[in-house]
Amino acid sequence: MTGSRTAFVGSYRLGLMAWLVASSLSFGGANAAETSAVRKPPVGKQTTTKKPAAKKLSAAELARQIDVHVARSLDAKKIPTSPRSEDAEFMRRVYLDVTGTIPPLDRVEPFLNDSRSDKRARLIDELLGTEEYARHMTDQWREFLIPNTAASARRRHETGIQWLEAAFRTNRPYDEFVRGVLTADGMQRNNGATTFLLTHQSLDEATDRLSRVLLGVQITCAQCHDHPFADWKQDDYWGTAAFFSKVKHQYERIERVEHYGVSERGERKPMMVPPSHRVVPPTFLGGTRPQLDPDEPYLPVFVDWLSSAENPYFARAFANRLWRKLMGRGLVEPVDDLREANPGTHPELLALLGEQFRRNGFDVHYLIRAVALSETYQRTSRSLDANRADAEWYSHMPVKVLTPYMLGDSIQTVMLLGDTPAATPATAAPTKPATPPAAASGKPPAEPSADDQLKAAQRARSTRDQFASFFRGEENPAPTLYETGMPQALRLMNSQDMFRGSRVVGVLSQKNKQPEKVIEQIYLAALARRPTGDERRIVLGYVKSQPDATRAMTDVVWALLNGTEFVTNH
Amino acid sequence: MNRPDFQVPLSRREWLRLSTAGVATASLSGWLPAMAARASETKRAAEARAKRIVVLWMDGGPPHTDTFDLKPDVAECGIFKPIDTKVPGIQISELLPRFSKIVDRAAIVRSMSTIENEHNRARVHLRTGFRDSQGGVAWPSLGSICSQEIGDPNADLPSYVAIAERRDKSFAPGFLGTRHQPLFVTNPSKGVENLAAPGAPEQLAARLDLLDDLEQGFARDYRSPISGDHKTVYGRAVQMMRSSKAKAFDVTQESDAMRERYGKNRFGEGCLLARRLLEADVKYVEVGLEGWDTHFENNDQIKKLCGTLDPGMTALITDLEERGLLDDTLVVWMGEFGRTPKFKGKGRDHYAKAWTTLFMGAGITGGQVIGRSDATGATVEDRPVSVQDFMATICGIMGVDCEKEVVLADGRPVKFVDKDPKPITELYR
Repeated sequence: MTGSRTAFVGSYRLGLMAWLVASSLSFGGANAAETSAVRKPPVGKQTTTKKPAAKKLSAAELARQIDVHVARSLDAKKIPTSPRSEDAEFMRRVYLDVTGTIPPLDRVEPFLNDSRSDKRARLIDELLGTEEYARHMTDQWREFLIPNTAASARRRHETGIQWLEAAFRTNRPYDEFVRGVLTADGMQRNNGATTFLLTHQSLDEATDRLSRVLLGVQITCAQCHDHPFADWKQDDYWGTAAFFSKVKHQYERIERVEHYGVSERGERKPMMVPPSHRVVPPTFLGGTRPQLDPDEPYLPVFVDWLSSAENPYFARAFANRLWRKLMGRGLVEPVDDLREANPGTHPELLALLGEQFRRNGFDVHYLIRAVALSETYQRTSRSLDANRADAEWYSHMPVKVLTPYMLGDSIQTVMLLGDTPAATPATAAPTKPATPPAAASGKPPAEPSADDQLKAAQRARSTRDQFASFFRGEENPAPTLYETGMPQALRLMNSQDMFRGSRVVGVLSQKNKQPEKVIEQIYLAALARRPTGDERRIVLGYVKSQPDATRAMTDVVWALLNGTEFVTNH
Repeated sequence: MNRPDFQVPLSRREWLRLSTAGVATASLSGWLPAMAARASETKRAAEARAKRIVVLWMDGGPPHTDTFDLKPDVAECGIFKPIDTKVPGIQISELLPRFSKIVDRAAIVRSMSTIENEHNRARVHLRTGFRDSQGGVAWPSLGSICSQEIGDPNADLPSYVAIAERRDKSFAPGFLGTRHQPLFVTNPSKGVENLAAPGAPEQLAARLDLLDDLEQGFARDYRSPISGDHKTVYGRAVQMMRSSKAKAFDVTQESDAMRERYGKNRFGEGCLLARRLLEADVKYVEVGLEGWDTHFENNDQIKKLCGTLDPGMTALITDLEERGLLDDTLVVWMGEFGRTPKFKGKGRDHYAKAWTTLFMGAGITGGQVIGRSDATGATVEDRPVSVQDFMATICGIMGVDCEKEVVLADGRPVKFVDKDPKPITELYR
């Protein structure tokens, strides 16, 4: 295998050169100075590899660069920026973005009262180390990597989910993560990473999804004919697909239980091949064909190319997706349409993010930290009259909508307060990572000792999954898209689960005798802020007007959880 | 220019009668139609042939050569045999024996010719009439257009209901805004759940007033269009909770015999639910039958799907007829495209170039075939029907003026149907 790898490296470096020049030209196209510097004839070996910011930057340095790039375009457009978020707004935002849930009540006031100047940076670091972070990243990557089809829904993918959680818990470098996904070999029960190839039934399904997610390109339309708008040709599509052509689904039956797996070396049936299939040798986007050993797996070679410095898509695709998640909008939209004719709003910034992500060892924490530390990220969502119309230049943080999992988990964070009278910081507070499993060493997670363990984990997830699937809308929606329909609103208003708030009120009333104080605690629990004067007046008036004070307070919890502020991240 | 300003607080209690026209809500896309004229005021409405519509959506793309456009002389086109129908000269697939007896109610359009070959793009094209993001506009789906143009703004139930496994953007209201989004029913035998609020009605009223009061602060401070969307959705949901009409969503109120007639499966129950909703004045119902993407085992799958389609569709048409509703109800059978007329392996691929749709009800001339595909079903030889033609046909029947100019929030004029459509006038002859 190593032999075949060295064989292609030499040839494709040179072969790709001309194309890379073209590519960096257009990706950096907004900056005239830079463009003209690159517009030399692409001859020789060292003329063009010079990229912006060749230096490795720390997260704080990258954060400053983000602000510089964003300020440049805002200045050019004469759009003023909104001020920095207040602590409460920032805290709730970063909790939601990093851990997928609102801050638990007992964490809110200590942060608001903390006077250290670096408390925001500290909070970011702390949250990246929580179990909730791993869970939240897993929720997102499940959707990216496991198709939501009837065929895949028929089976449980517990080991795959555990594999994702272990990867994010240990902050596995993204290139290694992708290597795990694409070169997984064995049975699913032993190696959860096989789940992703396993859940793709056909060659085109795997090619479509993985090229969109990992490379950020839409070559799907080129399956049957050359792409109507983009430059993708049928050969790009089938050349990429050819890397998946050796993947075979494995199957075995032990004690009447069916087990599945994948391998590039196995004997069993390959993925189904669609009728429109064209036989093209494995080809990287851009046209280079690596020399491959027909007896060896192809996907390791594909992964080498993905994460190589010459690949203009891989790191940018991740950075763009992450940016979209945190900032509400991709630097390139749609996020799976990176191509020369679609450079997006800040092509140099995206190139920089991708470059630094790669230079910092594809460290996912690093990239999140850099974005979250930037002033761009930390601006309030309150627009000014003069920047209200701006939806793409980051003059203020857009109001994002909680995803179904975020909404369910946030409701639970509030409701858990009522579950044990002792207010349970142990369950409500973010948990520290569990003892690092074997996955930390880069090996697959330890094999679960029993099916029972898997089943227990599945049961624990099923409530979350059930809630999320009821709220689920279109695939990979814009972070700002409000997708609640009438059935979802009815559930939030009327399901019994939403009236568990009475127990929360019970617990808070025990600890706080004054109604004003209870109201304040309810606000801190649900919205991570204290009520305004108006709100205190409205709520207190309401409670006094009602015959039953506990019921009235329960209505307050209900009203806050049903409000726009709760279901959004701002 | 008509962007709603959330600094203007909505008056107390207003949202309990929120759905009574005119409440400006921001659309998801940020575009808002500046026009207020409703179709009922235009002369098109008077020319409407139907008051309501059901779309039977064969998701994944049904093969024309296995259903309504068989090619018995070309062996490669399929294994299923044609059978005679109630109408001499018209043959359909042996897999649809019940429907063959009511083909006199249907016009079979064998000359659909469209351009999108990929599911998601084709779904957008066939549901909205425009290609995905064409011109940078968030185009509304036909259901949303009907909701806006012929829906009763005072109705308790939404005008547009989609019975579908999956929500995706092709159903979306686009620039028409949240008010015209579909209500999705994912499980027709369960209908819509959580319609009853715990506690006494006055408790609910008090809670809702509290919510309304507390909403003002966020709407004022953040000025996000989501505040308006939220209000619209909650307002509509509350109105539905309070309406006796909501029981239309409960198919278990039908007799067992009636449920058997439609078929006790997702599609059959969906068709039955559609009929109940039409009786409750819902204007546009889509019923999905998923699974037509037969790349691999076409014949087995098609056999199974037709076994579900045949009783469901036949029961819907005959039941509507028995209730006197068929004459002013349009029923359309369609997918996002067809499938390759020849096999590739054991499957069929996506195929937009030539395929088939059906029109029923709405006083159309039934028992006829419109258009023709060639001997191998690969191209259209007579009367090609584009997406624009197709959309304009439905708009015409529903009394929706698709030539009318709609001015978007940025001043750009658009129409509901793209340039120069040629409606299928042969439906009425």
